[in-house]
Amino acid sequence: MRWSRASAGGVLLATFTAMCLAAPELPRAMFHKNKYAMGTEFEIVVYDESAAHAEQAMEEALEEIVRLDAVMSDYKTDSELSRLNRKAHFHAQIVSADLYCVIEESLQYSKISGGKFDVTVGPLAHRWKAVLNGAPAPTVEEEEKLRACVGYEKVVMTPPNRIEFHSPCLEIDLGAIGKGYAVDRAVEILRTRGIKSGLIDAGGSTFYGMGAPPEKAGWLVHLRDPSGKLDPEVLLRDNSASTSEQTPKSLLGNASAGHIINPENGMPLRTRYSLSVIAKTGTASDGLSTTLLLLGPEKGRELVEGVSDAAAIWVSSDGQMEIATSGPRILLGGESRNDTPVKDSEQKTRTAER
Amino acid sequence: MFIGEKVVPVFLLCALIAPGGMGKVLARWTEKAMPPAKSLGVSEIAIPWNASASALMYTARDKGYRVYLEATSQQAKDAAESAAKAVFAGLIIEPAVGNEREAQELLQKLRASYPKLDLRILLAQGKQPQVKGNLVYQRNGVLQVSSPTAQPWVDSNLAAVRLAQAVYPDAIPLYSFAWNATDPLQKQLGPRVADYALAVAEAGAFHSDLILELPENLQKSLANGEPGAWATWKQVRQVVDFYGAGNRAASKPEWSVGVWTDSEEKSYEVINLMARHNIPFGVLNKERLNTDTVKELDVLVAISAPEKEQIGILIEFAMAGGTVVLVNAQGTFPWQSDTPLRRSEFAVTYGVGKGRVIEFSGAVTDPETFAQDIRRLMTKERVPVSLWNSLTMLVVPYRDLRTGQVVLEFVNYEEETQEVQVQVKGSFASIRYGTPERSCCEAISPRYVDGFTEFVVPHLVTGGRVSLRPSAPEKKIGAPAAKSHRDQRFRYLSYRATPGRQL
Repeated sequence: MRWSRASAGGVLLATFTAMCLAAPELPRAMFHKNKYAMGTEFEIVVYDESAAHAEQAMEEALEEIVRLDAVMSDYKTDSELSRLNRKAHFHAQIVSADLYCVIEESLQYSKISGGKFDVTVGPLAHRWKAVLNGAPAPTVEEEEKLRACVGYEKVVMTPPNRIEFHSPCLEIDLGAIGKGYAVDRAVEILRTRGIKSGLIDAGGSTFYGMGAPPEKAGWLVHLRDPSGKLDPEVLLRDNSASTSEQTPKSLLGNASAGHIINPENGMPLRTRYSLSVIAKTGTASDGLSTTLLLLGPEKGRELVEGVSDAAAIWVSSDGQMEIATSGPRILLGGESRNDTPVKDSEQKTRTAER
Repeated sequence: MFIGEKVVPVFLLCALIAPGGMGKVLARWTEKAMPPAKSLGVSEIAIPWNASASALMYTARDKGYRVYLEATSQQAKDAAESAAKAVFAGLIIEPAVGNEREAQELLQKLRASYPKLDLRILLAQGKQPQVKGNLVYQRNGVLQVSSPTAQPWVDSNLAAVRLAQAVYPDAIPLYSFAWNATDPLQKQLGPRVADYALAVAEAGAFHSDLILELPENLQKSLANGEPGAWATWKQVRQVVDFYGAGNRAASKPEWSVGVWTDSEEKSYEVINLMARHNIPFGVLNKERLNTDTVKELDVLVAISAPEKEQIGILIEFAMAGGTVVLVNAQGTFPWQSDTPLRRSEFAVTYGVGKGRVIEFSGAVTDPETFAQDIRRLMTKERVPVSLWNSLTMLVVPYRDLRTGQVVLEFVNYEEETQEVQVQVKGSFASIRYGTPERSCCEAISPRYVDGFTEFVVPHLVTGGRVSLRPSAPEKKIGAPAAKSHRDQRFRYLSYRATPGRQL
């Protein structure tokens, strides 16, 4: 039998394709890198075939986080946000795309939470942080004066890049959302560099799982459990988890201080819960975690169920727990190691005391 | 376990040791070939005592090193004999954990037999200085646990050094550590210049000596004269040289908080967290707790249970205006006959004379919050030094006994170069800043506020030293010398002087 050139070519192509498909994947090793930014330690773990490639990709992602710290920090006086906080009172300022974007998204959470989440709480937050460090609590007059500075509706956004404060003393504090935004930008960079499997951790409070580790369904993250009884877990796969909790009480009884401020009364939030959220992006999980801690489980459930692909768990130190979800599964008590995980429908209504 | 049983033996009682700069580095060497001491810039070498050590130690001596043999307690006798016979510099005993007391007894015996030999004991709990991450590596993956945003976990050797100095204030601590092998990348690539530099800078800043472990491939490359290895070592040597200069014997640590404990086990985590929060503290054991040692203190944390004698000291301290913090207070104390000034879930505060006694009812279960509380209890006017916004930085203040100068030793555990905002008690005529990279010295402009001197340390890479010469200048009080943008940095200083930042 004589083969035509075309048929021979076809066979060769088919053989080559088959060989390619059958070629074993190069073994991937795990690599890790960390860097200090935004007052905490960011860590990245990736699986990759090449140490040099992994190192380069992680370095670029971490450099991006450091760059964003210089944009969003309210501690660094020369950051873009600090400049905005000094100059935007009744004067529109041109800002970078990053700053515009993260503030715009913050205001969305303010709107959907009816103002419970509010990045303009800066003046109050600073004052109460000072109390945490030993300063006296503010007087009623001082507190009223500071509360007058606060209000997300006083931030005027003019696309594509102008921001103005309609208040003489408003200050934006991105502490409740900035790390999540930075995580998302880092994920983008890792993806651009061809990383398919990785985990980004922003100081333990926000994780993003890219793809999954080899031979695993996702990145297993144990969620905060102040009771030590429930062991809630989540498998992250191209989504994010964040945790919020009020600052622990001073052992000396200085119970009035705390870093999460309730904009409604201008006081540090009092709650018995720790809150973890799962969402599609780091920005969303970070922003939602503070929002839902402030809202509490009753009102928070409604919000979670209205957001696509989100879940939340409130856990108190005595083992009280509430779960709400619009998609992702939160596993309990080592269920990730069991064959029969809890169904979503069960989780939606589950309230447990252990 | 008592400090006297565990930590004491861990250190050499060697008051006769030469000053050796601020911190002396000994290179641990295991390979056959080695470069001359002059090239390496390290004059002392530590050679593990084993079958191949014999040839190696003579080579080392020929290359110009002062040779120390490292031996376990079991090997120590033979090693000491060999070292003495060959007229080597000394012997370093590495006790197994739990066998420190035996090692100490052995040291005394060997000292009697070999009086010319420099005998030292290695601190058993040395660890690689670093900022630790939250992720934990398991055999088949990564373990992660979510939490509120955590402050950087600065893993330092300061707590261990302070515990040891409590027992023998005149001895120079000596420690070593194995490089972290859990980080996959570090395991593959080995320590970086920054890792070596941090280890050397930390030991220097704590006025301790360090046996620096050099990986085999680096030893071989240095011995073979490979340019890449020597380029790396050149950078490390810069740090070694910086801390090799000076005279640590002339200075003493400044602290306003005392921790009284006779148990390393009970107090380690509390002390470790106090170190991480830059609380200037010293440790006192039973023998050193007296009215003289506490009279300059502001806060005295009593972790051990006080008996009659100590209760008298605590009362006298509080009467004079001090704050006593009693941990796990059990029993009846004289101040309890008064009505408490304040009660909380965990603590009861009594007024005693000009001061107060705070009783914590239980053991410290949350050392992080406890350390923050201790900082809150410190009298602002008496804090020797505070850093602002420097979560990855430790500072250790010293007073030069000859000149009265205050010397601040800084260690930056993060690789990124940082600016540090500093507040020091008192007024100073001049402030000079030196680093391994820039050597000595650069003048820093201060400003003076309410009895404190405030300034910004620029470009702190790994380690740095600030020397403050006393004598307050006239007319400068309240006059801002800093640039306007630096004034902004101090805007919240009175509120944010502690490193307790949480987002």
